[in-house]
Order: sequence, then C-alpha cells, then structure tokens
Amino acid sequence: MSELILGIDLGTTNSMAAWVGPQGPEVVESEQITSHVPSVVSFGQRGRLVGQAALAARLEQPKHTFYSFKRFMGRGPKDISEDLSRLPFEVRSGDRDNLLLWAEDRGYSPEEMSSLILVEIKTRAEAILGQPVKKAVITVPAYFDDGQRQATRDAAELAGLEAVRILNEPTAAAIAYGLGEKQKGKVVVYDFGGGTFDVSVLELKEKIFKVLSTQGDTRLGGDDLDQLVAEQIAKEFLRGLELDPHSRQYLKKVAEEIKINLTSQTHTKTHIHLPAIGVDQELVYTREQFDQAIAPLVTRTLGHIAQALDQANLTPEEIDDVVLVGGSTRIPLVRHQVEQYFNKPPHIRLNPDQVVSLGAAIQGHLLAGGRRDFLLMDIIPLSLGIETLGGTFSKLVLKNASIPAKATEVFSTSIDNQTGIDLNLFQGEREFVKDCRNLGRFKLAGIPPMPAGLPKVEVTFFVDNNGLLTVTAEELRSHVKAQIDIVPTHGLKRAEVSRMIKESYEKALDDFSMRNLVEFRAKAEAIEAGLVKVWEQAPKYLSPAEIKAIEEHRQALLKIAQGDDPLALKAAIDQMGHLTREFADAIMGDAAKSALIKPGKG
Amino acid sequence: MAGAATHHHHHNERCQSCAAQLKHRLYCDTCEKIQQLGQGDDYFSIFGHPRTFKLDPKRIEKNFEEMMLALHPDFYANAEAQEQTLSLEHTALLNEAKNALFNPYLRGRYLLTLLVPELGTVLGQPPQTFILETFALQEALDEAEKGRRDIGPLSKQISKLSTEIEEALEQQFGKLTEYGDQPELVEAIRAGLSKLKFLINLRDRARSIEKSLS
Repeated sequence: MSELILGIDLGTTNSMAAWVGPQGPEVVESEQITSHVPSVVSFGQRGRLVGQAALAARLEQPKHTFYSFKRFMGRGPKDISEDLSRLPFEVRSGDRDNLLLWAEDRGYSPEEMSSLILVEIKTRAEAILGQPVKKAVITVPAYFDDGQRQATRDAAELAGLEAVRILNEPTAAAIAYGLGEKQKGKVVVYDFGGGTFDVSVLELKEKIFKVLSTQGDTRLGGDDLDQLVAEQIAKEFLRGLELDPHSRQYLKKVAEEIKINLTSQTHTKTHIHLPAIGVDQELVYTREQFDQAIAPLVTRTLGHIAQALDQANLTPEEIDDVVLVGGSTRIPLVRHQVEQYFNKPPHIRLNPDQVVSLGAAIQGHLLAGGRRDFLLMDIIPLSLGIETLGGTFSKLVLKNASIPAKATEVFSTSIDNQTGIDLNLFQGEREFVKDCRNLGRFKLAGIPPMPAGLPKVEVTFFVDNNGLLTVTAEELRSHVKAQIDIVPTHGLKRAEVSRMIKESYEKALDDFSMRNLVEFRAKAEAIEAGLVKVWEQAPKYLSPAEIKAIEEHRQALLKIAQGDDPLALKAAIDQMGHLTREFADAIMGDAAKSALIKPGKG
Repeated sequence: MAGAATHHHHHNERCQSCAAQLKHRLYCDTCEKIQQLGQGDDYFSIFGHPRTFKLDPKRIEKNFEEMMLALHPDFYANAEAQEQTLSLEHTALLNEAKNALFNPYLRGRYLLTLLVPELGTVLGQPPQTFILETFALQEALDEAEKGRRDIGPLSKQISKLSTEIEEALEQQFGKLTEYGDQPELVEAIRAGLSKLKFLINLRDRARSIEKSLS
C-alpha cells in the first residue's frame, strides 16, 4: 500500500481533509468526528479554541476570535485594501512589511493561525483514520502569488506537516471532476469561495488535464458578500448607528444567515437583538434586496471569466462544461449569471464544498505512487520578474506559462568596479514595479571589479510544479555564483519558522486543544464500553442511589463527548472516575479472585 | 502507432542505462530511466524533430505529451534527489522549448544561432524600406482603434504578410542548412526575422483592438 498523503483544502472560512481510501476519494470523517473545521481560532478564558468551538465563541469573544486570516497570508499592510479597524480583532503591522493578529499579549502571524487549523485537521484525521499523517497536498487559490504560496507551505511546516504539493484550488476541482465524470473537452472551473475568487480554463484530454489560463481575485469571496449585506442593513435598517465590535460581528452573522436562507427562499425574517445600541426588531429581507446588494461583486467575477477566456483564446461558446466550486456558488444569482454568460446550465453534481479537498486527495494519491492514470499540467498565475532601471518591471516568466518553467536573462553593472548587484523580485502584470507585488530581494555579491557594463550576470528563475520560485544568479566571466539569501517581504524568514516550531513543541504540553479532545473522547468511549460490559453486575456492588448517580452521569458524559469542549470533557471523565472507583476496585478484586480459581482458562 | 519513419532523425540513439534504442530523447521507455542531456541536444532534438524552420507541430505535440507523461515531477515525488532534479529540469526544458518552437520568430532566432553560433542573438531593427511599407498598416490600426476602420481586413493583411515572410524563411533556412554559411543568406534571414518580430507585434496589437471592440 502506498503512503498516506492527505488532501487538505485550507479555506478562508472552512477547511477539510480528504483521502483516497478503499472506497475511493472521500472526505475524512467518522460518525463521531469530522475533519471539516471552520477556519477560526479563539483565545479566551477557557484557553485556545480552534474550529467549531472557536466559531461559537465569536460573539462572546469578538476581539480574540480570529477568522479569515487566510486573507493576510503573505501580505503586508499596503496590500490590504479593506479597513482593518472595521475588523472585530486587532491586526497590527509587524516589524517588517508583515501583519500580525493580536491576541491579548502577543501577535500571531497568519501562518501560525493557519497552522493551528492544520494541526486540528491533522489530529482529527489521525484519530479517524487510525494512522499518523505526515504529508499533505494543500490547496491554495490559483491566483495566490509566490509569497502567499510560501506562507502556506510555512504554515504546514509549523503544523508538523510536509506540504508535498501546493495545488491550485480550481485545478484540484478539475481533477475530481475529470476523473469522476470521465469528461473531455474545454472546461471552466468557477471557484467562488469564502474569501477568494478564481476562474481557470482547462483542456481535459485522455490522461492530461492542462490548465490554459487562470484569473482571479484573492480578496473577493462570500465574506465580502456578507459584508455588503451587513453594511446595507446597518445603513438602511439601523440608520447609521455607531456599532461596537460585538454588534458588527452580530450583524455579519445575521447577514450570513440571511444569505444562506435566501438560497432556498425568496424572503427571510430575522430578529435583530442588539441591546447595546437599543435595537430589538424584526427584519424582513428579500432575495431581491440581497441580489441588489451583491450584484456588483457577481458582475466582477464575470469580468474575470472574460479575461480568462481571452487569455486561453476561447469564446464562451467553445466551453463544454462549467464546474461550480465553493460555497458562494450556491447563491441563485451567481448560478443564474454564470448560466447566462455561457448560455448553458453549469455542472452541479459535485458537492461544491468538498470537490477541492477530494481533488487534492487524488493528487496526493498520485504523488504517493498509488496511481498514474492522469497528469496535471498547471500554469503560473502571475508574471515573475525583477526591477530594472527607472523602476520598470522586467518580466522573466510570463503569466499563464506552463510549469515547471525556467527563464534566464543577462544583466550587467552600472558603476565601475561594482562588486555586488541587488536584485528586487516582483510578481504582477503591470509595467512598473510600484504596481506589482514585491516578493523579496537578494544580492549577488563577490563580482570581481570590472568596468561598468562588462560583467555579465545571468539571472535564472525557476518555477517548480508547485508554482514556487527559486532564483539563482551567476557572473558568467568569473563564474561567481550568487550568494542568495532571499528575505521574503511579507512572510516568515526560515529562522522564524524554525523558532516557532521549537516553541510550539514546548507549548504543546499545556495546550488544551483538539489533540486533548480526541484523546478524551477515546477515553470516554473506553469508559462507556467498559461499563456496558460489567453493568449487569452493578446491583451486586452498588446501592440504588449510587447506580442512579452513575446512570445519570453516563448520559451526561456521552453528551459532552459529542461536544467540542476538551475541558468540560476532562472534568466529566474525572467525575466518572470518582463515581465508579469503588465499583471498579470491587469488580477487579473479584475478577482477580476468579482468575485464581480458574487458572486453566483464558 | 508511431512508425519507424517518425523517428528516423534519432540516429539510433541508445539509452544511457540499458542501451535499448530510444523512442524519446529524454526518457527510456524500456527501462524507464531519465536520460541526461548531451552535447548535441537542442530544442529540436529533444522532440526528435529535424533542425528545420518548417515545423511539424503534431510531432512536437505528441512527443511533448508522451515525455510529460513519463517525466513530470509529480511522478517522481518519492524518487531519489537526482531523479527528481532531472525530472524538474527536463520538464522545464520541454516547456521552454515548445514555447520557443511554436513562435516562428523565436524558432527562427534559435535556429539561426544553432546554425551560425558566432552570430549572437542581437537582430536589430527591420530594414527601413519595410518600416515605410508597413507605415500605412500602422496608421490603419490607429484608425481602427478609434473605430473609424474595420479591423478584420487589417488582421488578414498582417497574417498574409507574416505567412509570406515565414515561407521565404523556410526556403532560406533550407539553403543555409544545405550550402552552409553564406553572408548574404544570413543577412536575408536576419532581415526576415526582424520583420517577423515586427509583424508579430502588429498582430498582437490588432488582436487586442479586436477584443476591445467586441
């Protein structure tokens, strides 16, 4: 059997894992536990909470409950167009061009936050599958740049996972679709998720799935739709009342509920209860109002489709099928607009929430050597290059180039006896570097002194199959190789990743996280199983009152074990220990005696 | 289905590991070993394509896909480091080579440096007469951009000019291969390539005008 490589969809609002089991690709879940985890982390009096429990704490702990941090991965203060002060939690600029999410006493990098989600998924998957998980294929929006991809890989490393492959989300969906539906032809994947939007155009052949073009917006998702609805409610219904963090969070939650209700209903009634600002009213919201609120963003996604088709040299009529991915594609207006654009109903047989993780699992299966029945040929979403004279952007690898890709270009010095060259790396489509994303800089040092213009510095860009860039440089006359030390502009330095890994091991001991919960659940299950076995003997050893107390607590324990609170579960287990100690001792004593009486058996 | 005729340019190349005759330059289908690149390898040879300006796109595409299916790094995730590196480098090369070969200007420039290595890659501007000839075409594009002229016929005219130059280059490259380095021939090819580059730019501009109008 091949090694297990999990497929993980690390989403803005929700994350989950899938694997290829004996039944084929499936989401990792059992009757008790699921790997489907809201991408939310909360720091409160009860310690650190991750996933569903953190999501539940969002209203009580608005300042210390962090969500949508995927949007800050590999980004700096200047990249964030949204008003950070509107967020219920605090985001501060770090000492470089990075962002930190501030909880009580310290700042957490978006990588650390994401790693907590990954640890949660890893732990759950291990409990469900009953085997250790060390490797994963992790998906990212196709439009993620190099910095955002590196940050994702760092998050995996912090979580003790090797990201054997960073896979584009729409491409992952196309794998699941191509293999599951045995389709061929030109396919558009329209991926409208919680925080990002991607559209990819693919050509599916016999065994080759080739990405032709990709286009997207890493700051456009269901979150933004909720925000628009919340703003509309605040403006029209609350008439511009001053909102505190709690109210803002509350309204956002209301907006999300309205959005979900309106996928199946044409209007919805919500009770808005905000005592802090004196609001306690019914709100009727129609689908028409909703469509009106979100229309600008839906139209924006159509613009991206047009660009992607243009880059692939195709027209809407030439597309054989449109695959919808991401929770936001459940919105009737979105489906309607996409259908109108292509003049054909989109493909909706695949579950839009699961298809990305399933595709990632299939790719993981291939990487592990478990199959060889398809090949994915992907592309780079944004051009890569360096800054040249006058702040112009000199592209070396062009957008939509097939990866792995390699490009070289020769540069020279501008001053006599110059012994070093600073290279500033950028990614984007604009003419000037000021309009592109700065990835980092590196220095080619040790060039022998020569007159200006004489050295020939060959710079090589190599983009691997993950879309990750490495840069090397060599002075061709002296064969001096670059002493390369890329300092990422927004992400973590290697030393920081190592330090964080060390710290997380030290902290793990007193950390009541999911890890404990899974263990406690197993313990609770073992206690229950043990009790079932011996319970008929209880009247022999226990008073009716004792029996009643234990019976009651059994029910309570089972219920708490279904929940997500490790501390409560621990307390319930301890309580059960107290209640049953004497009973257990008595039974053990008798069992030992009977073992002495019947030594031949067993 | 690949008959012997498809591969007669291979000069009976043999696998560096098991000595079986190679069907693909970069990969041995017999022992499944990745092949190292050699001295005589170029964008053409790795696809088993002759060094000619005239292109057989089907052969390139077929060889490209077959080698990708054998060499892609996703199939070497558990392989030894050296194999992984070769897989990455070879697939990057295949992408780079295919891109260059499918672009007539890049293909011509590459072939010229292969045949006349001492020439360098700098081509310079197209001849003045050509720029004057195409001046009217550029003005017409300006007009079309403002919506005062139909873009369709202009695009056709640009394509026709490109095809003519490509056909001339095919013949000139043929002669260069057959009779060797002749200064006049080399000059004619250089001029032809610089014209082609110019026309490709015009074609791209025509295309973007066409799109902005639709």
